[in-house]
Amino acid sequence: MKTQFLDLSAHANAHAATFDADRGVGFVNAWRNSFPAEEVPFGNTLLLKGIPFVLPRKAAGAPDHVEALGQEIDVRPYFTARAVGILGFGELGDQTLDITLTSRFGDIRRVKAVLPNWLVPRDAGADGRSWRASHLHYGASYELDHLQPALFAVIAQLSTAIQPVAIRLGLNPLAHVMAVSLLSMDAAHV
Amino acid sequence: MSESSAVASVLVPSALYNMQLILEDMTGPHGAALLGTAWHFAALDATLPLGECDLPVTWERYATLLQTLAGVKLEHHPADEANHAYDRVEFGQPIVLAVDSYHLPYRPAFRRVNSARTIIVTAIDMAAGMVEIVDPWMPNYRGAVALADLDRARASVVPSDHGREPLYAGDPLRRRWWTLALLGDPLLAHRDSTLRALALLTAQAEGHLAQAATPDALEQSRIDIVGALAMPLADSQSARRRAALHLRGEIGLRAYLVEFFRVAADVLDDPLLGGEIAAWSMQLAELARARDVLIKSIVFDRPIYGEIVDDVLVMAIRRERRFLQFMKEAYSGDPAEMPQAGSVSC
Repeated sequence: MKTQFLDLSAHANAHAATFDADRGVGFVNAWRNSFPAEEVPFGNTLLLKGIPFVLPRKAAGAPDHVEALGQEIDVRPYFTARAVGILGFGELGDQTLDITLTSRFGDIRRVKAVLPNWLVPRDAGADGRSWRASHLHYGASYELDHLQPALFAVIAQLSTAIQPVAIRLGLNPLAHVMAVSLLSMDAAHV
Repeated sequence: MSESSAVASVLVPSALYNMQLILEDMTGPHGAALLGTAWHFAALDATLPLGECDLPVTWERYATLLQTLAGVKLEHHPADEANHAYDRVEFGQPIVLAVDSYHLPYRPAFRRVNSARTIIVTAIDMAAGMVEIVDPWMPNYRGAVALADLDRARASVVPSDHGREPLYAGDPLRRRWWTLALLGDPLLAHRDSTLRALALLTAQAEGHLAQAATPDALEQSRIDIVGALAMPLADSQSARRRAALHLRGEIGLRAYLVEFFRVAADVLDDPLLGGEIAAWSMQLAELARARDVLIKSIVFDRPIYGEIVDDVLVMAIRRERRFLQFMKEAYSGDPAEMPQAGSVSC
């Protein structure tokens, strides 16, 4: 299987993770919760469900991912995609993210990805599709581990293959995208 | 007290969810439907109390509707200086109590975060100073709590702290409590009375029973909510919080109303009603999207949030108008002739 990693750095507009020294600098939700940045594999490749994702580098106080607000992401070089892998999470429950791929000839493929709720009870069983931190950061400079923040790999199968020049994320501020990988194989074969 | 899933996927006020658990223990899986007796939507009203333990309709009004349609007697006690709530538990009656999780040792945020919600008390041992409780708020808990801790949790003023708890703090609890009892068969128990129940609900939604017509109230709320989101966050933070709690309460009432309508469609064996309910109930997801974006907007300020909320509320209003029109054509009647639950013989 071939994979093309999309560069989301130009579209990063939200904070998912904070370092121990600056838990109040950025947060995911109204309760000022965040991932522990020391644990998230920023700048590295994360393999989930057989799919590789490349996470951006993390700088303290800087946005580190995309809150889905209709961003259009360029795809270079051309790549024949049969499925889209999303590394992300839902805020306040599972969240549906619309994804639209457009080819240079104007062909369009639309798919939906459901991003699971990011907070998982500590005693929930592990699965191969998610990466989970050991604890949750709170903005008031403490941490708890009863709920653990998680990143999920979700695969959206395309109806037919396409060579996209752009991918547009839908409008859902509760859907958070850390990385996008285009896949050359059908989801069933991953 | 059993686990429940009927309305578990919807974020509803905890008092309603705890009442659902109690009713399901009494009546079985239709307990959730019994709570669906208010086809209601109110315009935002800044003069009414609205915390985690409040509904957009007064508890007294909701209790009247519960008794009329569901045969359920709901007592809401806004205070409890003489500990009458514990007397009920000693008699074997489960009660719902408003508490501040700051004072409950089993909560993850014990002595860190003041946050209001409700729990169920199922048993009490006054001599030992212990109670047995059920707290379905994630991470859920069932087990023992010291009475002294519970008393502190009930008496809390839940001081406001937007940094730690942006939504569920700032409203004193005053030892509030609730309890439920079954008085008779619900109107859903019989075909004829189910028809009357639907007529009564339709009359509510049309605005005949001391409330505004629901589509009009939804429209007014949309204007007010979008107006709040158009203002700078510093000037509208309180209005955004209030709007989020308001929607949360309305969604809670509607989540149970959808259950009520679904059971009614089964009782009447009316697939057309079932189809209309399926289309209308999609507004729960739309209202929930508006609620969740509003919650987010209490601390994040992006102009596009207003557009998102406006779009989903417009869709929800469209569904409301369509379903109400269907119900007026299919199930309207004279509400003055409606019997109360329990008055229909078996």
